[in-house]
Amino acid sequence: MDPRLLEILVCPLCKGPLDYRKEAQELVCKPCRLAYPIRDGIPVMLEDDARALGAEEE
Amino acid sequence: MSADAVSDTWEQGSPYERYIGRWSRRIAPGFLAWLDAPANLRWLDVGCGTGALSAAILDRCTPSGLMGVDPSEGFLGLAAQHLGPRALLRTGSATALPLDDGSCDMLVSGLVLNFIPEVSAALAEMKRVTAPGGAIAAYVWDYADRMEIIKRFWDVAAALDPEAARLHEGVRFPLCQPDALQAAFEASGLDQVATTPVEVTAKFPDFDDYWAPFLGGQGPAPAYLMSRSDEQRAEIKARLAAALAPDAGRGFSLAARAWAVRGRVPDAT
Repeated sequence: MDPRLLEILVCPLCKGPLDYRKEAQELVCKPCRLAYPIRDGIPVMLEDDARALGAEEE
Repeated sequence: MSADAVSDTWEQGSPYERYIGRWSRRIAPGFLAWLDAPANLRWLDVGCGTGALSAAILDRCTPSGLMGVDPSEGFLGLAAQHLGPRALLRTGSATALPLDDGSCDMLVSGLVLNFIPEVSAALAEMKRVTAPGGAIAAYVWDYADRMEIIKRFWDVAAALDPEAARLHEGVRFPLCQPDALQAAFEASGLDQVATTPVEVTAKFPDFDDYWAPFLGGQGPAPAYLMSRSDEQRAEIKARLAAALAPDAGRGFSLAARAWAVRGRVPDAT
């Protein structure tokens, strides 16, 4: 993943910063408790496609 | 790189490419010439689709960076193939852009604005992600008048079926007029708003070159056509052929005009 990407990429809902989870290929917004998938190298920054974080997930 | 290195990769066509793509791609350079933007800006293409406008930006504008956002993963996959690593692509919505405030200098959107249900919300987002002093610019087809490729079809269809008049994009998309575009941009708080027509001539060597893409079913007019019976389709075809190509052995030309609009994001106060 291009390191430049995370510099300007934010959560589309709260506009806050994202955590990149390399193994899961996800971008996580902790306040919104959403994980946005990265598919074929393209971040899918749509609420409807995001995975809700489980209660025990950090 | 050579002037057409990126945009030439579309030559082989899907139905959409044959229907509109081949003409919309030719609008993009005229639009960018009107913007006359300096080199080394950070560009963002909202609703980039398969990347036709982004390709023209890479070819002509020497951006320091280019991002493309589109809600369709399928289109973005094609855009990634065409544009390569010089464009950063992400799936996203125009009304909830996944980008930081002020992260681009020049935000563009080609043939998209009229398809966004909440244009004012989209313009507010576009303004948020564009740096103060930067610009937002867009273009849409002149469906009501000189996007003749589509309008001539609806004129014939509506004469046969009153329901078709309701589906005409010229009726469905009142935003696609210079006054409406100007008003939408001014209402969103942009300065120095201006509009201009951008027109290309679409040359068809014969009627079939015009007609065949409508049978692909992609786009409102082709979808309407494919919802008709064989008989109704034949009647539309006969009337269109008589109107556009009365001399069957000769080609004809139609206008494909877009309205472009631009505005400046005010300086921070």
